[in-house]
Amino acid sequence: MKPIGELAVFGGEPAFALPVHVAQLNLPEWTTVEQSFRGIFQRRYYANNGPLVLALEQALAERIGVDHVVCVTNGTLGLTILARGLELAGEVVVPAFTFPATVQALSWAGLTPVLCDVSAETHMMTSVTAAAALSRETMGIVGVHLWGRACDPAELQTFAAEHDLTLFFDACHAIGCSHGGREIGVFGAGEVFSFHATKILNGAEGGCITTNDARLADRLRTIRNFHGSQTFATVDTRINGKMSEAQAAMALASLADLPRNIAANRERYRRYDELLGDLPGISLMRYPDHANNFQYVVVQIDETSCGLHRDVLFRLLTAENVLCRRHFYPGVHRMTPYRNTIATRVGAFPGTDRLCDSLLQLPIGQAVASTDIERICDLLRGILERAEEIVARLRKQR
Amino acid sequence: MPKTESMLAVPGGSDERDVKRSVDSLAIFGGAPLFAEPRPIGQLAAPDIDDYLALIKQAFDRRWLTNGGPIVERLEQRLADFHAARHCIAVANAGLGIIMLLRLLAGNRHGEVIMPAFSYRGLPHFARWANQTPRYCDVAVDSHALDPQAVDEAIGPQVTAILAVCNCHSPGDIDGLSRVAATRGIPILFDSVYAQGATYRGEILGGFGVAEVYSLHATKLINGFEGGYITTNDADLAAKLRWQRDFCLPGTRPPSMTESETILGLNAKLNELHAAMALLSLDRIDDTIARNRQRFEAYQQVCRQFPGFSLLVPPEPDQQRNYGLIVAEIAPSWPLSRDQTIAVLNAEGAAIAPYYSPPLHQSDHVSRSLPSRHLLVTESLATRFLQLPGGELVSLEDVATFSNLLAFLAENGAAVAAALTERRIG
Repeated sequence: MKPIGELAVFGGEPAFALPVHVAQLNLPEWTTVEQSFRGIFQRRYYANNGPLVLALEQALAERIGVDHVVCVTNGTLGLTILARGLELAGEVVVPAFTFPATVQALSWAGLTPVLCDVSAETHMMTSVTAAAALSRETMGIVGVHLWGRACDPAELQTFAAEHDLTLFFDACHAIGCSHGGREIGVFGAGEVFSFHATKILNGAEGGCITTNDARLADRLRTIRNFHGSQTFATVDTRINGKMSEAQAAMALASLADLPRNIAANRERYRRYDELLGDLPGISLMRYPDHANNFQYVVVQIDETSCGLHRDVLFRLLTAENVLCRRHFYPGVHRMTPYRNTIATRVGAFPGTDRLCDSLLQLPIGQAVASTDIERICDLLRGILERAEEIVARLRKQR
Repeated sequence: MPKTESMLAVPGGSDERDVKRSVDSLAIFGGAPLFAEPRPIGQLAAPDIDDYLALIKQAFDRRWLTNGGPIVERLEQRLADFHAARHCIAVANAGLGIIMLLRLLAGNRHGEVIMPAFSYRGLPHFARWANQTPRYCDVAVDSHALDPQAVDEAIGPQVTAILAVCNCHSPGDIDGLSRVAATRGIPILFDSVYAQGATYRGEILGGFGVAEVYSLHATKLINGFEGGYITTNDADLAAKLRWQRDFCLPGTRPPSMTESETILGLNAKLNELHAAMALLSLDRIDDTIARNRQRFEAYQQVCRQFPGFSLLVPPEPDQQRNYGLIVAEIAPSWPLSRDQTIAVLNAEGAAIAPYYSPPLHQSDHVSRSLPSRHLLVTESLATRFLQLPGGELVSLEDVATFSNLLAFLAENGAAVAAALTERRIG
């Protein structure tokens, strides 16, 4: 560990010359990509439900074990299209601890999102937290599978059935993950995945909707485009939500790499676990109960035990070019356009607030080498060992 | 109909098999189609594959495939220059750009958006996603663009925006529409998707209204696989659109916005793979337009000889046009109806359709919401036009083949019409 005065926040050289990111940024072999793009140019088929999109939909359906996969421009648009395809109106309950896009997608679909709190332990909604947000106007409930962990689909399904609600899922973190022996993608009325470059399956941008409901799939495929020949159901609103052949080429190559990328993530995660295991005040999110894609290394910072607040650690690490993240800060209940509206009707979000205030995600992904992880953990260890001194110096500096 | 030499002698003619010699040889009656591979109407231009691979390899080496990458940034700068506009905001597709603008301009209020009914079928859907109701207006007979007087009459207290459309052959009366918009205090935006590269009174499109929206879809002039962009001279609007495009995240809120102002965010980002394609296509836009013009003129040379069949010619000959769409008008003196003509051409391998027909206020593509008055010009136009094959997949030889077919129909139209009626086609 370098002397305190040499920490980047105090003017020293950053520990990393180039930034290390919290993002998968997994790239397939260039030769695979090159070949795929040559094919696209030869076929001159660039968009509009082309052969690569069809192949990707087929491959994903087989991998997940679901009847229908509808590829889309991005995960947010996928969730909007799914919400519209479910023909809901009125209120939909959604957790406040999520990326804002989950909630925005529902607003775009003409629904009224009502936020609920989450369990401070699992970070996800439960039937108890969801129940607090229900009203007579509630028509649906959106579970979010955070960090690749399943948002208890069995319990939520029972809860949804009891209250006659449509249950669907934001599975943007969860490609390649499972629950109770079943792949995520088969639960609820439909689920939505993201293939954003920061996710484990990289389509540059992109995503898909999965469902076992054939009539819903027809509506989704119709809503996704404006073409007469791609009309499979009567719907009242349509949008361009099509995935291009370029995105599909990337996603197909990335899908082939998925098992290897999951294994590499698992190894990076294991290394973090080894190196952070005994540090006081830092607890690593565990993925014990089912298969995970290990695309996030989530740590919770307990200020009392480790001597500094998450935001101080965030600042120190960022200065060292360790571009860690504070997902999801602030909570959606504190963001426009939702704060002080019907969306925050339940009033208090103690679980969400605690997580928003204490979680940190550490770099992982193809660009993060084992030696990077060792250096990041060394840095962390050094900072925590001298937390008191660092905090005092920061205070003086301020 | 009298036979003339000029009709038979099509310049740049094609070989024997490409000529129809009898009614029965038409594909619609069982003959071999002229084209085994249907000829489309979309532009489908592409840059050189090696140039493209070299550019995206740079993105790979940077591991930067989306989220405002350097290629998107370069594309935005180049497009702003091309359109002589101060700001360009690249988006995932043009429809999302229009939806974002309509939502912003309405300021979270539910209202109505004035739009033409003789136009792209996506328009009313865009309004719906922005929580607005489409209010259809009639168009001018020559430009097919919104008629300023009809717009003025349609403006009521509910109207939040005018969505004007600039067409391929003419952008319409931009000054007249802008005057109505300014007088009535209603923001006007232009869907200029089909007017890329066009000028209005000597000025390149891109800086008119509060904003203009363009497409980078593969079938448009600049191929970005999928994609679109917004041009505007309004710095505040540009900042808001950039914020909106990327989820309206709290840390990136534009400083010009007040605390009480809210915008609904989304993911409308253009990725680097698409931006790279668009950037290289933009480099070649002059050649693309020149080839379009050649196709247009090749069709025109032949079609001008047919009774009742004419190409839609730009009414302002001194202005730049991109000739991306080749639209033909069918008059009563043409021996077949518009839809019969399309049926015959479809069977021969022309992947064509009626042009903006049925009009939006009579279409079941979007469920009807506002009771709509008759739109006399629109309804008349909607019966008359079809689009001919065009774009990069249509060679001049293909144009000659289609022209031969049209010449055959011009000469033998009565017999073809009778055979179609007998077989209950069209």
